[in-house]
Amino acid sequence: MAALEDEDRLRYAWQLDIAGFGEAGQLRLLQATVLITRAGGVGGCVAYQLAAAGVGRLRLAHGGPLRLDDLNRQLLMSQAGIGRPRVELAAERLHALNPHVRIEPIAANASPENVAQLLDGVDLVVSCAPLFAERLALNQEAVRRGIPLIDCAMYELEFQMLTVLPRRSACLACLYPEEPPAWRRRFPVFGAVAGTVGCLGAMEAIKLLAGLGEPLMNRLLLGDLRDMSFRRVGVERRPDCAVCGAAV
Amino acid sequence: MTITVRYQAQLRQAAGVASESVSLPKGATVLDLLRTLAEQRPALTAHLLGNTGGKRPSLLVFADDHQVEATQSLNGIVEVILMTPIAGGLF
Ligand SMILES: [Zn+2]
Repeated sequence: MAALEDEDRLRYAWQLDIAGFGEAGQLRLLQATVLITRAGGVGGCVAYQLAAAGVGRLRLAHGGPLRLDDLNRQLLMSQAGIGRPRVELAAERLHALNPHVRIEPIAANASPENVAQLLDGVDLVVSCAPLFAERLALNQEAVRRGIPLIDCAMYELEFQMLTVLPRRSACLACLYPEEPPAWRRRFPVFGAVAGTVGCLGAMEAIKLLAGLGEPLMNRLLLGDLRDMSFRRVGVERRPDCAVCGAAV
Repeated sequence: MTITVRYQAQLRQAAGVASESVSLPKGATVLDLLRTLAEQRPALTAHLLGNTGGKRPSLLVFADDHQVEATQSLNGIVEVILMTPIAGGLF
């Protein structure tokens, strides 16, 4: 196995001493490719943390230009960037933080049409998409390819997170056998809530990539920052799941 | 039997409370609970029940921290969490 370079030892010095991580864990991060979709309030925070931690390659999928009302939570952006493609702004900020991370910006959101391409060659997916059609398409392709997926979601002061280890733990379609009704574009949320679930998703990603700790399998993490309550509820694989069930 | 119901996400606003205690006859199921709640709080009906009076498919129900189906009996259950699906990221 390759060894860390001196600059890496210095850049990542504060995390190299973590029990169960060390140089071997760092090398796993450096060699990993992670797809993050999208790179807004939640996904931007995931990407920022993974770039800081030294994940080798980040593929960001996010369509559309930056708007003023994105700035309460999308911390990779800047006022001066309004009107520019968000994924480009995200790539610039990540590069400024850690120029060694290779960023693959893709100016499109995930869809059933492009998920095969988006997941090609990735080791892990962090889904931070607002639409169920998008999340379920990512889940389906991740399960089909056996790629772990972390699904992050938020509403107002609440958030939830589910880790999918394909065919080993409940997938997103086990939790939602039918696609929930569509949402309106804007829903209430603080940037700090997006950042909370984004940091949790990033930590879960680091753990999975480095083989550290216990993944959140068959558990849905629910957090409510209104009263700072956090709990894990059990979710089981459905034998008849259309995505990961026995017949698929 | 008495069950504590906790509302998450949009349900909390529709219910007007974060949690409440509900009395149910022994042997009541998840669906019985949902119908009782819909009767007591009409604003919840569209979130809990579908057009034919069954459990709304997208509603998540957790009984003592485990996901359950509409037909599940609530005997011995202390707390039920009701949750509408929540999404992330923003556009
Ligand atoms: Zn499944």
